[in-house]
This record gives sequence, C-alpha cells and structure tokens, in this order.
Amino acid sequence: MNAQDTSVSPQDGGTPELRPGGSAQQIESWLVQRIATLMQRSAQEIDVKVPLTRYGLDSVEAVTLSGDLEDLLERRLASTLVWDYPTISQLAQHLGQAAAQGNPNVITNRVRVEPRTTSAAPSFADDDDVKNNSRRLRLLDVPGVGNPYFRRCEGINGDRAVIGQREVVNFASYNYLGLSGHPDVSAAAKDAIDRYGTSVSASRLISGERPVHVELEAALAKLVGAEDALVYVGGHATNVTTLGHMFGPQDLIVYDELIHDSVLGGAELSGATRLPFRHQDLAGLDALLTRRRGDHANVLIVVEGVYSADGDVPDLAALVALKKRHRAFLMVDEAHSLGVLGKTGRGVGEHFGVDGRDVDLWMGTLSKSLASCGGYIAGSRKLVEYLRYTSPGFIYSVGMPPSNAAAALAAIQVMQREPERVTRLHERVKLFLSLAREHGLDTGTSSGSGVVPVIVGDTLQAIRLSGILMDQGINVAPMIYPAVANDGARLRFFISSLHTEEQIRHTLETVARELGRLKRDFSGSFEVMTLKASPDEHPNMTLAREGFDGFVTLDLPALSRQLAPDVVYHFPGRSPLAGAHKGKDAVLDFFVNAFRYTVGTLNVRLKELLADANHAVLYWSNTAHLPGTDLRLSADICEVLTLKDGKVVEAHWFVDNQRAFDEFVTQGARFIEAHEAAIGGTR
Amino acid sequence: MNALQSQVEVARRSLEALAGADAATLSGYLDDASVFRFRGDVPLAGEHKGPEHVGRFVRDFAALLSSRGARLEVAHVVPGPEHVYARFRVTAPASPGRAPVELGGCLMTRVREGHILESSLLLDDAYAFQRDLG
Repeated sequence: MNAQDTSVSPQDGGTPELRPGGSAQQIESWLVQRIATLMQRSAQEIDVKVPLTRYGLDSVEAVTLSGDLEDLLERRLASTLVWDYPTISQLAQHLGQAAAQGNPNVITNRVRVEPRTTSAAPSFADDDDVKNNSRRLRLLDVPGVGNPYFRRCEGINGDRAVIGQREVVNFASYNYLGLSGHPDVSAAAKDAIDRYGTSVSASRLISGERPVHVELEAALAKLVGAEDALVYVGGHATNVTTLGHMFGPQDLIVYDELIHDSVLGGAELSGATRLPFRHQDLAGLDALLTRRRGDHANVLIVVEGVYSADGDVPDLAALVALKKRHRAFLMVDEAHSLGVLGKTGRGVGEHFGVDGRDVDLWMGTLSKSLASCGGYIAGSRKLVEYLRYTSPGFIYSVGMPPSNAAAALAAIQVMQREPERVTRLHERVKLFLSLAREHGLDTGTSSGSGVVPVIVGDTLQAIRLSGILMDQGINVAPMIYPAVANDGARLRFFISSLHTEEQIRHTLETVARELGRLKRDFSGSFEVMTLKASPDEHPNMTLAREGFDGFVTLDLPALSRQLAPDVVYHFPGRSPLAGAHKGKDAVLDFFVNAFRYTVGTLNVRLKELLADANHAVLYWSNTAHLPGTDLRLSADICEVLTLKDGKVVEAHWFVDNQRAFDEFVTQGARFIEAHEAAIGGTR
Repeated sequence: MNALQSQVEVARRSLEALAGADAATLSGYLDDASVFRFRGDVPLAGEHKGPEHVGRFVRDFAALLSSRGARLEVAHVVPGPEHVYARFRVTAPASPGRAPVELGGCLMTRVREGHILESSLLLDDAYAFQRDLG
C-alpha cells in the first residue's frame, strides 16, 4: 500500500479497513483477510483465484459478505454478487472497476438522497411508493375476476361465509376450530362487555388490569406448558415489540427464511445481527451456529410452529437439542399451530412431545384457533415478569379489551371441553390432503396442519382461479409474489373442523377441474427465462439485467430506482403503448400498461444482453395468447438503454413483428379497458 | 484485432454490405446455415436461409433503398460474446410528392469465429418503412 492510499488501512493488525472508493487491490486484500478470518485460516492459505465456495462459504455467509461490502463501500450491490463473481479476484476486479469508472450503475451510492426540488407543499400522493402501489392495484382487477382482496364478508367467518349476499363455502378463515361464533365464546365476550365495558381505558400497568387478563394468561401458560404468559393487543406487534426489546446489537437472531414479517420487523428493530437459514434446513442451521455462536452474546433461533404459506411443521425436538448444544434461545411462533397441532390442540410442543419449558419464548396469536384478537408471549416466570414491566408494546399500550380476553379464555375452555373439535380438524386436513393429491394438485410441503396450499405457479392464473372458484361458490384467497416466489403463486386453503367431508370433496373436484381448464385455456401463461450473470460482465449489463427482472416481475420500486427523473422511453408502432414516454412517472405507467395490455399472458425469454460504457442492449422474445380469442403473438424486441450516472436516461425499443404486436396490444387494451369500465360501473 | 473487435467489424461490414448491395462481401461472412430474419408485414419480410437467399435479400434490400435515394448509416455498435448489436439510420431527402425518409433500426447478429450464424433486422417504425420504401 502506498502513502496515497486512504481507502484501506490496517485495523488492529487484522482485517484491513475498507472505505468507499477502494481500488480492486484494496478490496482484494480486504476480502482475503475477511475470508481467512471467517474460515479460521491464515491469509496465506487463501487463493484469490479459487471459488469462495471451496473454502466452505455458505449462502448465509455469502449474503453477509455482500452486506458488509455494501456497508463499507457505501454502495448498493447485487444480492447475487458472490455467485456472479465466484473468486476473490473476480469480485475485487468487478467492484474496483466499477468504482474506477465512477459509474455507480450496479453499484449505487446507498446514502445518496435526492432533495425535493419543487416548492409545493409535500404530498403523499407524490411519493414514489404510494404511486407504485396505485399502479400495482390496477393489475389486481383481472378481467372476469375483479380484485380478490378486501372482499366484504357478512356473518361469521367459518366453513361458510356470506359475500355479496351469497353464501359460499369458505376456506379463507383462520377459524380452525369453529370457535368464532361458538355460543359460549360469544356469550363470554358479551358478559365481559357488560361487566367491564368495551375498553379497559388504560395501560394495564396503570389501571387497565382486569381479572380476565390474569385468568387468560394463566390458561395460556398452562396450555403450552410454560410458567407464565403475557397478552398483547396485536399478534404482529407482539413479535415486533418482544424481539425489539429483548435483543440488541451484540446478539444474533437466526430465523427460518420463510419466517413471518413480524419477526423480521422485530429483529430489525433490535439491531441484532440477523441471519436467515434455508427453510427447514436444520443441518445448515447447526453449521451456521457452529461458526457464529462465539461472536455474539446471545443467540436466538426463531421458527414457526406451522409455516403459514406452506403448512409444514419444523422438527421441534431436533431444534430443542440444537439450541441446547449451541447455548441459544429458542422462540416458536405458534400463530397457526396452537389449536391445530397436538392431540388436544396444545400446539407443536404437544405434537412432538416436547417439554414446554424447553422453548424459551412461546409466541402465539389469539385471532386464529382462539377466536379473538391479540398475541401472547409465554415462558419462564422471570421472563414474563420482565416483559410485564418493561416491554414497550405492552406498557405503552392500552390493555387488551375485556371482550377479547374473555373470548380467548372461553375458546381455550371449549377446546379443552370438546377435544373432538381438534380430532375432527385433523381428520378433515387428512382428507383434504389425500383428495388433493389424488386429483394431482400440488400441495407443496404441507404436512397435516390447517394450512394447505394448492400451488398454481403463475400469479395471474392464481388470481383468476380464485375468481372462478368464487363464481362457483368457493372462497379461497390467492397468495402471490412478493409474499411467495414469483413462480410460486398459490391458493391457500385454511381448513376448519367445521368443514364437512362433502364441502371438501366438492371443492377439490372443482379446483382440479377449473385449474385444468385454466392451464389449457391460458397455455401462454407469464413465464420468464433470463440469462445468468457472467463473472466478468460489464456493470451496465448488471444494471440492465436487474431492470429486466424488475420489468417482468413488475417490481416498480426497483424500476423507479433505475430511472433518471427526465428519462424518455421511445416505443414504436401504433398500439396504445406507442410513443415517447417522458419522465419517470410516464415510464412507470408505460411498464404497468405493457403488463396490463398483454393481460399477463406473455412468455418472455431474454436471449442476449450486451453493454458498453454508456449503453446496454437487451434482446428478448415474446409469445402470448390473448385469453378468449384466437389471437396469438410471436415477436422479438430489442431494447437499447442509454445510461448516465447509473440511471437510465433514454430507451429505444425495436419490435421485429410490429403489426402483429400492435394488433395484439390494441386488442388486449380494449379487452382490459372494457373490463375495467364494467367493474367500475358496479362500484 | 481481438475477438470482440472482429465481431464489431463483421456486424459493421454486414450492414454496409446491406446498404451497398454488396452480396459478395456479405457472403464471405455467411455460414452455410445462415438465417436472416426480417419479420412482419413489410416489404421483403421473411426468413431467408442460406447464402443464396440471404444474398438475394441483400440485393433486393439495397435496391429498395436506392430506388428512393436512401442512405443507410451505421450509428452505433455494441459487441457481446455471441451477438453484436448494430444500430442504423436510414435517411432520404424529400422528393417531388414524397416526404423525406427518416427511420431507424437495429441488426442483431450472432457471430461465431468470424461467421454470421443468424441475423435479425428490427425497425423503429415498420409503418414508415412500408409507406416510404415499400
């Protein structure tokens, strides 16, 4: 290192310190030392030409490494960085080259803030996220289906529901045991209102404590085999406030990659180091803890009792053994397992015969099997005492309404008094799974919980299938990207003990028939094949690749970030997409319309990606079939991006089969706009 | 000349040959199984396979340009490991009763070891191409 080098300096004789603007050589030195430390080897053993995976770098460590580089270089890096540039040498060259070019295309300065330039008062309507949300909402109104969300439901949400004044068979309710609507539960809630009013009108710490709270907490603790419990007014808030409060920057929180959003939020709030492990990969978790346990004061493992998108169950007994071996805490989120798993509904602990005291933090919700609203933490007496006096989401919040506490308490009592409800739920789940598999439906990894997905794959097909089923008297909600992977869209069936065998048989026959029909009619469903990154690709190529991925998944925030404010997109031809689209908003609208007018039926295959210092060129093929017509499309598109300061300033599109393309898009636009006018008239 | 420079050269000369009806030069670059695609509802559209048919397309395309006094100029070339993108402009002055021609397009060419395996010609205004050159 020469005297001019200010971007790297030794840090206590260990890993050199890396700063923004570091050269390829400086980055390489830092990487060598970092990998050596991580893998417990000497720096001399690290060969910069050898793929990092040969040193045993796993996916979690690779992501951590990318994150550390982002922080040190103060740039945004592709999440696939370590796979795209597999050796230290390639990675350092890539990062150093991009920095030397002063071109933050791939590598966008994370801390750059664009100040508002207008003098008008700020409005949320001008916010990019707000605008992008509105754009996405327009896509939810799928022709012939309408928006599948926020359907208004009258009456009790059980095995049946009344939607739009019509009774339908219902698979969109958490009412696993049919206790919401049970006369004893309703009576308990009403009685509590008569006795205590509709609100406790204070934090429990002050004057909001009622006997029913204490009784409920004792019942919950007993149910899961813990010493004590504490209830919170919201399930999501329970995780956020507990994790945010209990853990700090010196700690490590490791969690299954499919963990609920509330855990992610709480872990982020805590400031702890956060590492996901592959879904249900306990061997990977073990290896991770072996390497990382020693770096942190406390380590928490977080899993769910039942994963709510897939309906599968973790091996709790193995997790307990693992947490003991690594001196870690274990937290289990029982939102979808309490009342569902175990012979008497006591949850995943009963299911595996695990001693309740072996789990440090039992978390659950009161809104599912327990027919109420809120969440709880159960654990040792000392833990609960600490939370009772210090947990911000508890002490700074009003206490749980008496009616909710009484309903949950009554639900526990009914569940224990009528164990046949749990038994019947198990039977119904077993029937649903076996019939679904007989019909050839893909139920993923669902394994006997109350959640059974039917995986459709394509987002719009899932939304469409949900709409068709609703027309046929079956209510089931679609689950789509980004809640699940882009090709993992599904219908999520929540099974209840109230469902009859006949309802289940009829539903699965209908699903199988209609899904088969959909797959025949919509053979050109939206699919994407993209080119893989090459180790030495130009940074502009990476930018174009990320933009293309954003385009085909309609990731509007990602696209927003790539566009210069005064960007212009030139689209040829005479379709409703044609013209010069000027400015970021117009271009984002163009993306949304391109998606809408092709009615989501495109097959897209990226064939080539080229770049030079100021341009990127994408070349892809499209095939599509307009639903309900004989109109088919086959066209190639070449898109040329002009780039400046890491942003797209101009784009020119060329279409090789212009008239056919225009005809398809024009018909698609008519189709969708007629549909929107029709549903607009009914609102 | 490195591989990429060679690819750029092949793409540039192909376009120049296209503009100048120089089928002989272009033929020198063509693989026996070369395919030249020009799709859509426009004059000369089709999938032209093999040196003979590609050569005929080149002559016809150049004749189309020259009948209108149009010039084709290479504006920008971006090479890649397999494909080369070349953007061009076609212009022609106004003539009695006819407006000037001003349109653009690009040629995506797949080149391997100095030989063209396939090319696709794409336009930014197929309607103007037909109206002004058809």
